[in-house]
Amino acid sequence: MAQITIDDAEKSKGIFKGKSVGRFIARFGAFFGLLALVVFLSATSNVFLTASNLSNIARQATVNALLAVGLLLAIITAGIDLSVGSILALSMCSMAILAIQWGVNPFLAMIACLAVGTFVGWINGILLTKLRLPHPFISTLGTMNVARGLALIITGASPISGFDRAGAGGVLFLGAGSIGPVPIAFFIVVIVYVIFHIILTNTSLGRHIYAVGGNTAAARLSGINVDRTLVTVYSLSGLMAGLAALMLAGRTNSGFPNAGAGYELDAIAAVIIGGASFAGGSGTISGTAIGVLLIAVLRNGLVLLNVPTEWQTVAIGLVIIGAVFVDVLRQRARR
Amino acid sequence: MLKKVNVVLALALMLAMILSACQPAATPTTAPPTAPSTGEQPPAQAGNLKIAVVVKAVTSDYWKLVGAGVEQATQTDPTIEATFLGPNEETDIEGQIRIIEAQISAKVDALAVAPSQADQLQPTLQKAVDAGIPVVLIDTNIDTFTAKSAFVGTDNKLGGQLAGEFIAGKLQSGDEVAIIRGAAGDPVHNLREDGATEALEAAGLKVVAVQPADSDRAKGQSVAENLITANPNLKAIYATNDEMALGAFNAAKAAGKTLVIVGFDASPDALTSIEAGELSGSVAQFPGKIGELGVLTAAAVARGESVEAFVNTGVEVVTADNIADFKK
Repeated sequence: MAQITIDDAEKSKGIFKGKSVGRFIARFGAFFGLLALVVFLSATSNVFLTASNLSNIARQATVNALLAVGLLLAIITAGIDLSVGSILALSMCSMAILAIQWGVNPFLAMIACLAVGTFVGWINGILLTKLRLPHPFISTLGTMNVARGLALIITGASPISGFDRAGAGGVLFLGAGSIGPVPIAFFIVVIVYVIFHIILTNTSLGRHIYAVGGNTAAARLSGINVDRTLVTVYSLSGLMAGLAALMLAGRTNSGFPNAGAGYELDAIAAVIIGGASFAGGSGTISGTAIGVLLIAVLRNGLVLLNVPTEWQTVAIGLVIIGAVFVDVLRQRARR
Repeated sequence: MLKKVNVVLALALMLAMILSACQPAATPTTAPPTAPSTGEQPPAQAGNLKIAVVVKAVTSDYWKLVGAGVEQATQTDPTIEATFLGPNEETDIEGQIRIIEAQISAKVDALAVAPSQADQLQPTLQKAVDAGIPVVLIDTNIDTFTAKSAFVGTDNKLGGQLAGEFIAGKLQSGDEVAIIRGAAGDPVHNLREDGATEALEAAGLKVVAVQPADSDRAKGQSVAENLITANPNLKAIYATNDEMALGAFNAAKAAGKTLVIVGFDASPDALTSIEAGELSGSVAQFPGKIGELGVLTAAAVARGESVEAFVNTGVEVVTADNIADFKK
């Protein structure tokens, strides 16, 4: 809570009183980075700003956008969730087996997809709070491996494809459908972001999440149920991974056990670029949205310019370092 | 205090990155017994030949078909005891090395290996040969590895050429084609790309982009979306495996375009898609033959028999026209 106050104080100093241009840029470093990138790509590629390309970016950003919400919550509580990519695979494969192989009602299969994700997330929370594993790094590293292994086992390590042929058009509608040029996935991400923005800024759960990350002992003393807050955070992160699984399954018309491998790192990058700190207590939905967009636009733009993927990886690494360095400058400016 | 927390977390994140890089690997101690092993036979009388088949990954349809061929070989020749092993991801080179090292320690009679990267695997394979274990390469050749006993596999360059010629037959001279390939540096994908590029350019087509998508369906789809947007006149996409081709098909469908899309491997998913009139074709290898002849060749070498240096397992383009014959 204390952190928010500092943030607000800094905001009023930095922007509204316009004391220092440097401070202003530092505060919105990622945003200006995104803006610069968009301007650069608009100038160098004549297809970048077309509706179809923007719709591509929205589709390609969907999975990372959803996973990043879970990571944001975990990182605000000074935690981490490494299991999101594996939870995605397990949820996606569970749904594919139910809907395609067993012919279960597609709606129930979709619910199951979300439920599997939430359940594994809940396990993460329980491991952390009830088994008292010392850091979520460990509990989620464990479930990351377990969930990936289970996804490989239940599918027999093969992709399970054909939601369309199984009559599960709803899955395809969510993951691949669009209204005009705007993908359904984009609406879902926007709705999720609005909901989580409200949760974080206007509910007691949100205040508890920031308080736990800012200072756990103080939060406990002030009567916040820290364990319950943490279990909720990891369950929500699992739910987001389940939702991401639903979207990716629709997008690829398939459930495959290797899905999401390494995606947790992109999600962490998005959250950190968006200004959250590993020390906990800070981070916003809007910052995360910018982080997600920055990575998605970078990936898209580099393919449009026909830059090999190797260089895309280098570029994203540099952006992470640059964004966090800007954050360091901001911290210094505060003193 | 806060500083310490930051340092610890930074270290933790680094550890996370390192661990997550190794995460998909089968762990060294448990890999051999727990990796899906379709080719395992119940332990029989002494004197059986122990052959370890180590592939790039055990998690795709393609490698399962290789595994089925391995099983077939053990039925043809019951004195062969074959194990079918591999990491979970094709990019997990380290994992493959660990599995091979475990097989060297277990003193198998011969190794049949599909190396995921030539340079990284060669020292380990040399170690096996030095330990008196003959190595037969399957699926992917390493030209510079002269200590191998034989190579059993598809002529991937020829496969790429056939795909290129098939695409050229459907298009006009001057049309634009894009290539989506597997992990940069993978020698098999290099051959598949080169063969196709030669055939496409010989037919007067323009290869406007070559982008890697790591043999992954979701990545293939994203890359294809971007390629279709960047090259509005694109007429065809050639992908060096079926997963990426299926992703490319999803991308083309979403963009409302009908492109000639050709994959490689003729996996069950791709065949279903060709039958449904979606993918235009897929270059079939005969993975079952690679597994089967790989094991039989390795067994022959272990027995001291002489074998051909290159055992060609064949290649053809499967299309809507010949799919019925192919499936027989």
